[in-house]
Amino acid sequence: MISFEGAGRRFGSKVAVHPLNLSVARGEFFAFLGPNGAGKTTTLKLAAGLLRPGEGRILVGGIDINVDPIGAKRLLAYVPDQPYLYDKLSGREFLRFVAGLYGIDVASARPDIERFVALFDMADWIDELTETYSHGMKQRVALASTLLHKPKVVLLDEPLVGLDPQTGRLVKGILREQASSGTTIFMSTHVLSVAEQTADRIGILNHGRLVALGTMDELRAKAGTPENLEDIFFRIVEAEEAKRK
Amino acid sequence: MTGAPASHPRLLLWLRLTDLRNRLTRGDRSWFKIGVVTAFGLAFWFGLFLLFDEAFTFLSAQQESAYELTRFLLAIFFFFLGLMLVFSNAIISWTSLFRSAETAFLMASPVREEHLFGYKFIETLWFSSWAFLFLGTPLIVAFGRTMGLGLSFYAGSAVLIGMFIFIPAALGNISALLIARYVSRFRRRILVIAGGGLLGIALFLIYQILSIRGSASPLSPQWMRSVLSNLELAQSPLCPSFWVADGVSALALSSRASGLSSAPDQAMFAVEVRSGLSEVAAKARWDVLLYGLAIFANALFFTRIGYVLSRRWFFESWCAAQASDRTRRFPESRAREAAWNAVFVFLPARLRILVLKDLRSFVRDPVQWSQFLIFFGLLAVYFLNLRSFAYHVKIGAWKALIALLNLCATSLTLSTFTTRFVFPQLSLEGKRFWLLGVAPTSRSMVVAGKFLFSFVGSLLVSESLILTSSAMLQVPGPTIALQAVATVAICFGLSGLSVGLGAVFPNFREDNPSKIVSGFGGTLNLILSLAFVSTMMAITAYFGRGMVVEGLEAANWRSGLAAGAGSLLAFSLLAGGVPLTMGLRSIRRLEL
Repeated sequence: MISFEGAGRRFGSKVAVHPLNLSVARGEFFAFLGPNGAGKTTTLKLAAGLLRPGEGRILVGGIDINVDPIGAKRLLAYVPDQPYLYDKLSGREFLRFVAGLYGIDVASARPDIERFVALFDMADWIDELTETYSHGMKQRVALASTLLHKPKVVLLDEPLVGLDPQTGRLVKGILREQASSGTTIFMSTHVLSVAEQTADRIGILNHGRLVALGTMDELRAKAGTPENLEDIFFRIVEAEEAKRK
Repeated sequence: MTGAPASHPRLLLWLRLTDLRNRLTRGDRSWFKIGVVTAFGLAFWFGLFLLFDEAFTFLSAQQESAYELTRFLLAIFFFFLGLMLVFSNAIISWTSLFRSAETAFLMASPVREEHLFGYKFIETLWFSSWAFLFLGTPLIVAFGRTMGLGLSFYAGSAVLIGMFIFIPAALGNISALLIARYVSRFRRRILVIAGGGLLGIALFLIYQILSIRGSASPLSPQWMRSVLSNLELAQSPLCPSFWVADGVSALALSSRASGLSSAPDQAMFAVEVRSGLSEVAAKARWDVLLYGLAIFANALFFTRIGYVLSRRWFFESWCAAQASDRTRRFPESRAREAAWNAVFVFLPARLRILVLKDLRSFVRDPVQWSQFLIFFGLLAVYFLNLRSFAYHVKIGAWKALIALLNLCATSLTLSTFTTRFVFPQLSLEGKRFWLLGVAPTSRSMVVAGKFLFSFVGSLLVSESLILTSSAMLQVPGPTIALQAVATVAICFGLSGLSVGLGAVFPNFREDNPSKIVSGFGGTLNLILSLAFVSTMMAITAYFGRGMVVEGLEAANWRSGLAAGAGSLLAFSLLAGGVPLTMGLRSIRRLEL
């Protein structure tokens, strides 16, 4: 559903993402791990069409995002680590606005908005201005807004940072459910346990290079350890660091 | 929302209208702030109106040169406002197009880039042009009132100005687009060269304008020739601001010519415009049409160019702006560190660390130092050129008045800086209070550091400016002394007010200094700062006038100076000390 074909990006002399070859299938839950500054956010921005790859191309549902950005963006949803909401709009007005951006008229959007308000447990405060929301409330509204147009691919940059345990569990459940219904989830995270519990496949990025890719079993085999993801992650990253030196 | 949006432009319009409606009807509204801003806005508008009214009344009394002088004044007014509009549009559209979180959000959605650019164009047009309209309306109303012009003049002027603002807006937007596309990658080098060049040109132009040597008396033919030759560009027929200025003049002529019924009035008018009534009316109508069409065509042309360029380049420019290397390194320099420590050696070590931290933040934040440099730099250029106006050879009372106005200009500029940059300082420390709040140093020390930084910094700049002004005006020693003391007192008072009120009304939830300033505490600080400066001006004027009127030979000038200096310092201690004490008490009690 989303494939990177040698897509890379430099910022001046610094290589943020080395040419990346990766394909994520329909309904797959893919988690992207890596230390700070590894290039996770840049990769997500490339996939979202917010940055143009310096080389290679990115296909979303078979559409090259740089050739037909509007067509590709109709299939996508992107939630950055700090989602942007309009301060002076209520959560419901924001959801209506996002529905409009994707060409959904108000009458058609209303039942879905109500469903997501209930699903994300937002009924008590959805009509208040978003400027009064906590981080967790904002994150819930942002996630609900991305699902309104039934995207084929959801790109999430650290979606669980700053969420309380209940909201975290709620979000994980909804994302897993979306993947089961055929939506591709492409998520970057620092929370290794989340990746371990929810992802079908995991990719590890280090210094802009994809250094490991596979299911948990495949990563265990690569790292040569039957341990949990945390140990696998450190083994792989430390081995890569040793190679660089 | 009552119906389905048919397109993204309509949806974005709905977004703005809903945002506006919610701003007006929901959320926290401070009626005090709204009332104060409205009252000050109206007072400012009427002040400008009276100023323009006085100027046009004076000009209309200059029988033979009235028409030419008015045309000249309008050309200058629209030229400089137009120039400012291009710059403000470029700066605002850069921020709005390439640095705003909203643009990033919309860029990830299927909104077409040209629609996004158009949406941001309208936003920029509004944000940068409302002040132009605010300054333009009192001029037009004063002009119309003085000349006794009819409704057609006001309607026609509104149309001309309304169309004109699209030209600088489009130019500013196109500039931002091109800068992002071509300059981002080599930002630092190109910006330094371009900035230096622009500053040089600006200083040269200002110098040219100010260097009309004072030998000619104001409004004499020689003076007029000097002024006109230095401002030729403003009257170039190729300059859009000239079209709007001459269009307004032509509207006035047409309106006046059609309104004159008595023979003496018609004869007087003919003398003024040096032509026959019917010829003038016909030519004026033709000019209005010509200028109107020229403005309309150019507004459409430049807006269209912006639209076409955005369709081709907006995404490229956006990517370039996001990818530009903004990392700056500040390697440790022991020599520099030692030098800074030596400058502030008189401060206790912990206080010195806090002051140096604020100094580094200031120097590394171009938003702060560039505004500081531009405004105080312009004042410095003006003060250094005071002799061009031959003020120094005027009588003592005149020189004292100019010196007082210079002190007033410096103090008002300073008050805007202390409100905009010093007041939010403690609120901005909120996120760092996990560190400062638990460090083995008293909270009072943090407040004292902010106060010292503001006081010493503003004193160095303001005192240099006031001493320059006094030297250029060649005012007598006692006046210099009074002005110098007034400057110390004003810097103390403004710093005390801003730091003190910043501690009494902190806003630790907000990261954006403009939003902190626009809250209740910031508004109160601005009002009290303006009131404080006004009172200090009144005290300086009262004692300064006494010294000028009685003359330096009078036996009691020393006691007058002492009384003046004492009053200034006492009032400043009160106005700055009380909020500072309240701020210290508040910050000590603060629970984080």
